[in-house]
Amino acid sequence: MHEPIESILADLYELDPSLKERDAETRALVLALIAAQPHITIDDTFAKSLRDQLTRTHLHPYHAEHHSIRWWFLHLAPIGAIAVLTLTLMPNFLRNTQVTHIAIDTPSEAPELYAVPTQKESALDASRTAHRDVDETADTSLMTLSQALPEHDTIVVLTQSPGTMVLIDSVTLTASGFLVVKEGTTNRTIGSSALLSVGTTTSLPIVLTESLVVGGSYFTVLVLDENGNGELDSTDTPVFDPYTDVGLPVEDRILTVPFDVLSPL
Amino acid sequence: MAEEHGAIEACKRGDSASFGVLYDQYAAPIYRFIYYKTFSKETAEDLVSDTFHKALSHIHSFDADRGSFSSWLYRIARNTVIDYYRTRHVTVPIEDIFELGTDERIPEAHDAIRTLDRVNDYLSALSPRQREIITLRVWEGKSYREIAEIMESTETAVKMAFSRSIRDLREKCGPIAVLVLATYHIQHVLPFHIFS
Repeated sequence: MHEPIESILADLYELDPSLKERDAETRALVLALIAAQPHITIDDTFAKSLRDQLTRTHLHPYHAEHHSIRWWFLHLAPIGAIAVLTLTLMPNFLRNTQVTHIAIDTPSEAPELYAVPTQKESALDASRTAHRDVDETADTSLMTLSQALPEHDTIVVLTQSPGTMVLIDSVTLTASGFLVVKEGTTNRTIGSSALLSVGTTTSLPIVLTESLVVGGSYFTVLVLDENGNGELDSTDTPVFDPYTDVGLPVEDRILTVPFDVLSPL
Repeated sequence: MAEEHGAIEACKRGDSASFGVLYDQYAAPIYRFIYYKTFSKETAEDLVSDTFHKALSHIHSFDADRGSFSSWLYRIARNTVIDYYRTRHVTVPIEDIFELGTDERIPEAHDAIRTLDRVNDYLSALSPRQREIITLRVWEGKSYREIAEIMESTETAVKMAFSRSIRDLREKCGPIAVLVLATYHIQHVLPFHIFS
């Protein structure tokens, strides 16, 4: 059941040749780990009882067809092909048809078409603009935003190097919120982003309150701006992961994405 | 593999009896995987039951293009254990699951507990992620790719973490490892040779 030692050692020495320099110790360590594996066996009565329950469970076959992405793709592909064909042929059709172009002047001033904002609304708009300006001053050169509305919240974070900054590869939010970096063993927040808008943000730097340590335990979570005040506070709630939620309510699963910290090569 | 694929497709068509093929293959390793995280037979059985019930009820969502069935099932098991400790509001950091079971072990396997004590000495020096990678690689023989799928990480990150974990262990426990190995042989191998 365990991996043969020579296979493990071969992998290790390929990854880190310095381990081979102390082959005896490394070999002894791996052998000790293998030898220390507890011999755990599943209770036969329990195993058989569970098997009976599972194999007699009634399944609904229509779930497989309706929930499979492949099923939708196969059935919608012909429609998509027709749409593409139509769009391809349409320019040719239009080119051969006389079209009268109507010039439309860009409206410059038409005060009767726009509501005059109240003083309160003006102040609120100004404050929101100032908030965006503050954020964009720090991050505009690095952020890009997708145009389409996202369907799921996601985080992509790669292996990091020691230091006081985490670079998030991309984060997608279905509602405004924050990306929070936590230390894994204590669950402490060690960094958070400014308010992120709906959509995907790439190459997002997060400044930390403490330095990342090689081999340490860290993870990221998304927190919604529940109260809409643009600030991360205790009333804001975490985002839940719809993909790994298998059989449990979404409310019981928080989207967490861990990352490793390794020394730069 | 073909048999596994056939069983999965049959389950998706509503044939729950075919799930027995998958259960027979994965019941024991999933039980071990969960037991290593809980150290309680009763708890492990409950969580194994939860894991397989979830897998069966959501078999339609399994997509072979996104990873192997084995990794998918292990991921369900892993998340089931995590959620179990979350709902119990354990104050110890959730990710440090490897240590949590030590206070509620049922002494139904004294040898296993003594062995686990030795393992704890080694592995307690590592982070929870490092421990999980080591147990999946060394004890369960999982490939780096499978471990990455189970832990939702990258293959490169898993490889690097594994090699660094072994290096860290060797630095901390190198001489002890040799001693424990010798002890193991004295306890388990030598009596066989003496009394055979």
